[in-house]
Amino acid sequence: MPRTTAYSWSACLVAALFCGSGQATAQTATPADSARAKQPEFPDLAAFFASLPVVEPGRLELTNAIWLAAMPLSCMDHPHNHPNPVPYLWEVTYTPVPDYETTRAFYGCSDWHSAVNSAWTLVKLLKLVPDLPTAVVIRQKLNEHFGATNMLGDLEFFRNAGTFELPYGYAWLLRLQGELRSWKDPDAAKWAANIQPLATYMSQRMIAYLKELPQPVRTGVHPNTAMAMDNMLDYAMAYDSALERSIRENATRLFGADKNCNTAAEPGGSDFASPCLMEASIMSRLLERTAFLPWLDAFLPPIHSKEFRPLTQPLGPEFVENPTAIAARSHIIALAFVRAKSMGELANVLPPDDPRVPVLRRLAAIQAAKGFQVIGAVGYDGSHYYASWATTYLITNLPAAR
Amino acid sequence: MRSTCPDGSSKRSTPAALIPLQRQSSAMRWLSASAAALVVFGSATLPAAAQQTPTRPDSTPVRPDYKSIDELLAALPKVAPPVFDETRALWLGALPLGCVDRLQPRTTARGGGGGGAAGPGGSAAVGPAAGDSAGGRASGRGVNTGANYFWVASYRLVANHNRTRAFWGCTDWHSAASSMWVTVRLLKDFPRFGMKELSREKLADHLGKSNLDGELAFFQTDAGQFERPYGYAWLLKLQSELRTWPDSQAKRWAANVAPLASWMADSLAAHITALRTPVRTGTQANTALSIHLALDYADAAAHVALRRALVTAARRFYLTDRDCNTLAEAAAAGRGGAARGARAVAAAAANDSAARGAAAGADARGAGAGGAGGRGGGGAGAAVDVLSPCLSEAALMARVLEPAAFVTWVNAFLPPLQAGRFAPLTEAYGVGAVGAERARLSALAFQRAHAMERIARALPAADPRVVAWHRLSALHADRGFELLRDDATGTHWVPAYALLYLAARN
Repeated sequence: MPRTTAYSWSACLVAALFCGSGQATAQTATPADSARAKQPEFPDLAAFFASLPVVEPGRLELTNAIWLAAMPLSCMDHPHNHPNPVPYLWEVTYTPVPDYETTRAFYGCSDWHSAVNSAWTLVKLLKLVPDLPTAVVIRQKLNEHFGATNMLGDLEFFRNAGTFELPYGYAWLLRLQGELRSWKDPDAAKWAANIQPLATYMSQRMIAYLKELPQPVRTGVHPNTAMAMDNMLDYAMAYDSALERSIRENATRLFGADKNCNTAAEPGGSDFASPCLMEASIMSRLLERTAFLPWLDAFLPPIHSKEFRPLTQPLGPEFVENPTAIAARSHIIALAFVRAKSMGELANVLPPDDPRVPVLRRLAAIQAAKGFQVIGAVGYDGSHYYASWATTYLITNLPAAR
Repeated sequence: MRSTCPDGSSKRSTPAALIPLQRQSSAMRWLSASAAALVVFGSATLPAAAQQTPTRPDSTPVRPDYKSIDELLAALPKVAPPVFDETRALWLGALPLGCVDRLQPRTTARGGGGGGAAGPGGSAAVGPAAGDSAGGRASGRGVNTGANYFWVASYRLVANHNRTRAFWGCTDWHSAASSMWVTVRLLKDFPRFGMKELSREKLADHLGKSNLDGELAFFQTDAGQFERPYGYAWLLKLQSELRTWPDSQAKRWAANVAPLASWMADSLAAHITALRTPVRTGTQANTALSIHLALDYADAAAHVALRRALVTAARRFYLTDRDCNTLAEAAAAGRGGAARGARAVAAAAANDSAARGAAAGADARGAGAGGAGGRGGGGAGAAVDVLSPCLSEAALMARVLEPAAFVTWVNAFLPPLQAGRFAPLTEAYGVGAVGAERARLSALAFQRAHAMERIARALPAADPRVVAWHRLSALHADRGFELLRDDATGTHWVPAYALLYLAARN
């Protein structure tokens, strides 16, 4: 597995010391916490920043683009696992759907949404690094999966699939489509035309879904509402004004008055995203800066405060030392990348001279370094989707994004 | 889920109609009125803002503090606790009898979740006929898990299921086990009631030696985390009841169940001991509830090691807890915490191997696909709580801690009953709910009532809160029966929650 990360063990260990979980609140008290209970307290942001290890932000380069792309490349044709129900009363046998290669598009990478975000990863990396030596095989792979009959088959399936993959998979499909449509490339134009009916259908379903949502889903896993909005916003703003209006209206309705995000509840044991950071991230993109800054101040605690610490809590040492513990909880590695992405996006939105900018970038870099360190640690449980979130973080550091 | 019983629904409504209705309707009026009051306060005067702890502002509107317990009591209607008489026992006892022989749907949740509507079940599912696909019905809750996106499933009933399985009815395993408990417990309390022969017939059919031997073999080989911990806890609860029943037939059943119970006790003790953090959701994956049920077995069976493991874990999980987030427990509006919970991890997560990997249940907020059977509940954002996390924890600590220590602990853990922050645990709910939502709220009402009874009984008799806890408990129980009576959806599992409450009063 990839070893091109430049970050050292020592930096990560220092990070573990200073950004350690602490958070010995009643809600998370475990025996392990007592050892980490002695948290340094910081009088201000500068003191906190000074305490952080120096870790360079991750950069997208040819080398890491190749191995990041290799992950989706290797899973696109690895079929979904079939369900494995416990044979208590019914014994089940499974056979693949007939002609799946021509009637299904996203049947690899463990599950539908991971197949979609894997495809997105390939498209994005190819757009950013056109001279990838693996470009030809990536195009072949996309061509096989993005055929017109494949997409029609998916559309037909989703017309009768209830809430399957709503909202997470839907949002990723729209993000993929946004990436394809903004790509000046003849293959991409053809693929985008094939996907558009499915994208249109999913956009309409999504609008109805958001409209009916009584309250946001604040979980740190797939159904998170802010994450869905974040994933599809680019597509909506460029190509789908009805969806954009829906996102704006519902974000205002669901998040506009939020204050005092409950950082103490993070991270949940199976979270791969930070609900607080994800919400801050989408609001940073929707609100004007003058409106966003006071909203953010009311929503997140100061970065140097103890209350912010749960959002920077890294993988516990018990995971770094015990790969099998990670394997059981692969989300915790993705969490490092998703937090890093959210922090990076926040840094990019704040005024350039805001003192929080370098701190957020550093925290993002520390998180991501931790993720890259163990990105191969859990095998297929991670390789079928980690590249998407790692790439999503890396693009926050592109000059164009800053 | 079907609204009718496969063996004829008419007999089900009869006992219900015999329940006196006056008290229910007065409680209904109060609950509706206080709901309106909440709206007025929330929108017009906003007195609540100043009292809110820093919690999500959208969690629930909060009424202003009452000045004292007395003022709270004055505002509460005087509802007597529902009587536990033969009529009610017959009602509760009839419901399990209608489900114990109804085959569970072809695919059931992986673990202790459930309580939802059944999918295609009953005899219709035996034939291969409707075996079109797994997906559309895979969860058994009308949620498409997408399993048929790539895989086409075909089903076959396990051979000799009625001789090699014991808990194959009532939609899911844990509901079958809890239904057996209801049947046993009512026979113990009402040994001569009108259904005694019928109840014994069903118990004998399901609790035979070969049935339980088959169960043990299944759990030891194929089951993985299936039904752990919630189903295990109900099996242990059932066995605790059988063991303490001086009855010749019950002795045989207890002997048949004993090997499975013993195995599950050991497995559960190991599981709870290894759990890093408890599942705190309002779903059936909730750790405190399972510990609570299992403690009954530990006491009945004098299983010292299990008791020590459960008590140690409870102290490790909960002893330092403070300021439970009652604001997140609005029953009607749903709950942010629940949305973080197992069943809101909609179909998307269910297919994710990573999410399954997290199923060890080691999640402070219980996002654990873990015990809860992570699939189902595709309506993200919908309320899913079937129990109060705050109260289930407090009820457990009420029996884990010494009385004085409990008083100190609960004072730091729960807000004063008269505080506005406590309002979500007294609020109106369920007025217009139907189907699975009504069933859920019914169970929630009973679980709250049950926990409140346990808390009240752990306080010193002179504590002024005791009266208030009992009053609130009666209100919730009254509400629970109201919700249970006129909707069939929850009848395969809610009676167990009702009986937990009634039993707690003895």
